[in-house]
Amino acid sequence: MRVYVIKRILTIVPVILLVSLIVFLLIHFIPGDPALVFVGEDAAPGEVERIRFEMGLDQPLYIQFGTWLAMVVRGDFGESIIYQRPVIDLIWERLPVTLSFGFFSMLISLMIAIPSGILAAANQNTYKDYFFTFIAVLGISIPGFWLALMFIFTFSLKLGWLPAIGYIPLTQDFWGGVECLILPSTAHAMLTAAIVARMLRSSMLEVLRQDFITTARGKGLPERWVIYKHALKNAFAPTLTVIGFQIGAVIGGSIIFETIFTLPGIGQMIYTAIGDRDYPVVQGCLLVIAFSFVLVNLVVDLLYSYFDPRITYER
Amino acid sequence: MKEPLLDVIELKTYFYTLAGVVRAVDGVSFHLNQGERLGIVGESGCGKSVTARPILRIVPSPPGRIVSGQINFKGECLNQLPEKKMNKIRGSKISMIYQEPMSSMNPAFTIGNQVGEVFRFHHGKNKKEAVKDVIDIMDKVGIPAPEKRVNDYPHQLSGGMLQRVVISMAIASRPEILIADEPTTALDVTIQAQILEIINNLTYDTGMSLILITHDLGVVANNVDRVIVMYSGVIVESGEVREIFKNPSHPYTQGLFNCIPRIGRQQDVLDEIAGVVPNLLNLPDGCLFAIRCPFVKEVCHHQKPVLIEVGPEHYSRCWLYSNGAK
Amino acid sequence: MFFKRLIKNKLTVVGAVLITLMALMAILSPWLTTHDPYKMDFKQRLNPPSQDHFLGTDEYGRDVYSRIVLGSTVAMRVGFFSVSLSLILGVLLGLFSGYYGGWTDSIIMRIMDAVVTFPTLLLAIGIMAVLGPGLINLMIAIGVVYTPRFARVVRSSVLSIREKEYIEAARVTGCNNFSIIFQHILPNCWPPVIILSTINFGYAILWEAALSYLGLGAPPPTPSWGSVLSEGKDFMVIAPWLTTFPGIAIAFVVLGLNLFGDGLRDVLDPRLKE
Repeated sequence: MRVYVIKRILTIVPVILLVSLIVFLLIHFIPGDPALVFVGEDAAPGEVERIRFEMGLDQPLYIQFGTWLAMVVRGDFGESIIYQRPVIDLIWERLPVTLSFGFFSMLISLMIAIPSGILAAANQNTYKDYFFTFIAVLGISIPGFWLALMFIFTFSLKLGWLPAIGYIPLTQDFWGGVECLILPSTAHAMLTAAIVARMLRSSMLEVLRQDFITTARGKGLPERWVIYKHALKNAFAPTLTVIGFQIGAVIGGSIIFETIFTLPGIGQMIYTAIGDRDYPVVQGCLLVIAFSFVLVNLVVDLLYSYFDPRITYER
Repeated sequence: MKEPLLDVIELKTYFYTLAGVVRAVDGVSFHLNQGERLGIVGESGCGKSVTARPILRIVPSPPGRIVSGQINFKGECLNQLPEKKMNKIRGSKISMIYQEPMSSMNPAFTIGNQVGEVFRFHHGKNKKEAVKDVIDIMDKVGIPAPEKRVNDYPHQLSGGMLQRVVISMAIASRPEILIADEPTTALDVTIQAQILEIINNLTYDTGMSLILITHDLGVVANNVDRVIVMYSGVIVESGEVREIFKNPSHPYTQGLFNCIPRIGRQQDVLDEIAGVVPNLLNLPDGCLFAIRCPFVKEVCHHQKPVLIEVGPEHYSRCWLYSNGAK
Repeated sequence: MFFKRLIKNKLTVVGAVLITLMALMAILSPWLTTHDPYKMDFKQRLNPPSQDHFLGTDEYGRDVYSRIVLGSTVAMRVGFFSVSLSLILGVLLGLFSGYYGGWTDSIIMRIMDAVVTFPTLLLAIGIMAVLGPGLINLMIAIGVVYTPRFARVVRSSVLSIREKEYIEAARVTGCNNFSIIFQHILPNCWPPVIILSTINFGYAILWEAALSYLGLGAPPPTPSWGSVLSEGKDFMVIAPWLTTFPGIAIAFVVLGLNLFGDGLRDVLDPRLKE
């Protein structure tokens, strides 16, 4: 078991390196000159060269990558061109916002998805099943931001129940903060719930066909026990992988949702930074996002072994 | 004569598939007396497993369905019993063990947990008490170091050991009937002998009745009192095991015995029963064995034979015996 | 037999119907539009739906209905080209990775893993930041982003087919690697690829909408559904029809593709065959 955990953690290293490389290359190939952005359009002729030298932009690519990597490892993500502050500080400030949005979104999502998935599987091919499946597929067919806009239109503008924009930190005012987060979290939850529910349903269906379910029934266990204990635990393992991906999707979705609902999180920051050509910010955010995704997937993989003990013994 | 423990009357179980209706079990009747060991023999696909499942009502319900027939246990009809009452019988009065031990246990829970469920549900024990009972019962079937095994997962045990666990789980409640559906088919021959011995000892010690389903005549020889031979969803011969082995009357049974290679006998080509099992989607009229039968007569192709007594407690479904004995 | 099973699921049939309707709309678009989608009319700005303009007009007075009808052609194009790109790249990568194994496999799969690690939107934005905005670059970006999915799925198919006896037989009779890959292994990889293509077609349309919403998509005045939606977002309060209808159109098509793709999966996935 321990061997499995260690092995799994080690496989992250090459992935992280590759990811950093991709981030670096992406930023590098974006048209536009960071030095120019820094000094502005009307700078004196020598200024641009000087700044470029200072930023190390005249070095060959691999040296730039190496220096950047060395900085990152030390926690130095550079300084924002626009805000003139260390990127790491900016990220630190905005992380809680994105995290609270993500947390509520996943919470609501799972609260909807898990019962739906189970119900649909337990009532396969009845109208209940068709209904749930239809809603679930609808959920993944709708553009997320459109749903967000529709939500704002209905619940904020027309009904006036909830605020459309703005953010209050939960530590400051819990219920006020929750109010601000309900709309974006629920809108986003609709999308991810659909995917999780479908995965759970198909997992459950496959598990319910297995022999050990017949054994469980043959033992005289009540049907509820068979489904919620025996079937669910086995079905959860592949579903967990999907949940992991959805957490990643929250991070991606935060770009759109934070922008629409004016939540000062990382997503919004990266969006404006791209527009402003604030490269250090973009780079830093991309890195943080990619890393957290890798981390989430690692946790998911490790949890997997709880639901399916067989994998720790393979190979 | 005492009332039989289990009485199956004209059981018909069909499977409704997209390709058509499969008549897996088409009018099967048999009984099991107290303390008796009954063997159900037949090749793969003859319907023997499907005959046993309706007893516990665990036929996969689409696409299968018990179309007609009655199953009586100790005089009580099981067909219409409410689910709650049926659950009290499953695993406690009537238990079943299956062919593949590795897939009949849940890989996500320890074996202690799974065997313990029987004690928790049928005997009202809590988790802690159940553990002791589990260790006891595993000891009884000869599992070494049961206290350590309790926390193991199914995939950590070998096939033979796991099958012992499955048996221990089935007999935990001292059932009156144990149904063993090909319990040794997936195991090595040496382990086979051990498992069968365990099952036999259990029947002797506790007076438990047994239904042993297998395709292996050798397994049947020493381990049952009476035999039913099935072919394509119907019973073709039934009787006491010694009688059947001495005087197999149905051509199919005779064919099965002929197929067994005899040690010491010179054989260049193994004997076989010519032809193939009929497609259950498209059954012929008349006797289902007719196209493969070496003694086939004209009537066999047009009319289905019925079970006829050919000896003491010995029945055969063949037109050869329409006048009584051959 | 295949058809019968496909039709059995009612939702699949609904999906097929929706797809056909949309395809028809795209094909028949020149005849279905009531106004010129590009024509501006400043006297008719921001009109609610009426008899003349079925779905209202936008801020430039253009007929929303006609723009949505024309938008269906854009959607079809986006879906088709993006999926084709991911399919070709992904299938090739998956075939070589699965068949040759060893270092080729490790390297290709690590790269695929790294690409998958990025949330889709970020990667798409990243690629478009490098390539620049516009519809074609958008299609390339989406194509690249979905390549790993095809690669992975093809690779698993290859891995399971590679060990089968008929491949051994082919090798023994002297077939070279290339013909083994393309004549024997590839034909058996189609089922998951078809399913993936159907579903990714829908995702491509969704991403086009998202990227256009962020301003990276089709430049005006091209009436892609995403850009019509995007142009309308500033007028939510006074003209909600501008955002509502394109969204419904998108939902229809993607819903159809997903329902149909699911139905295909239920029928083609060998594990579900009884």
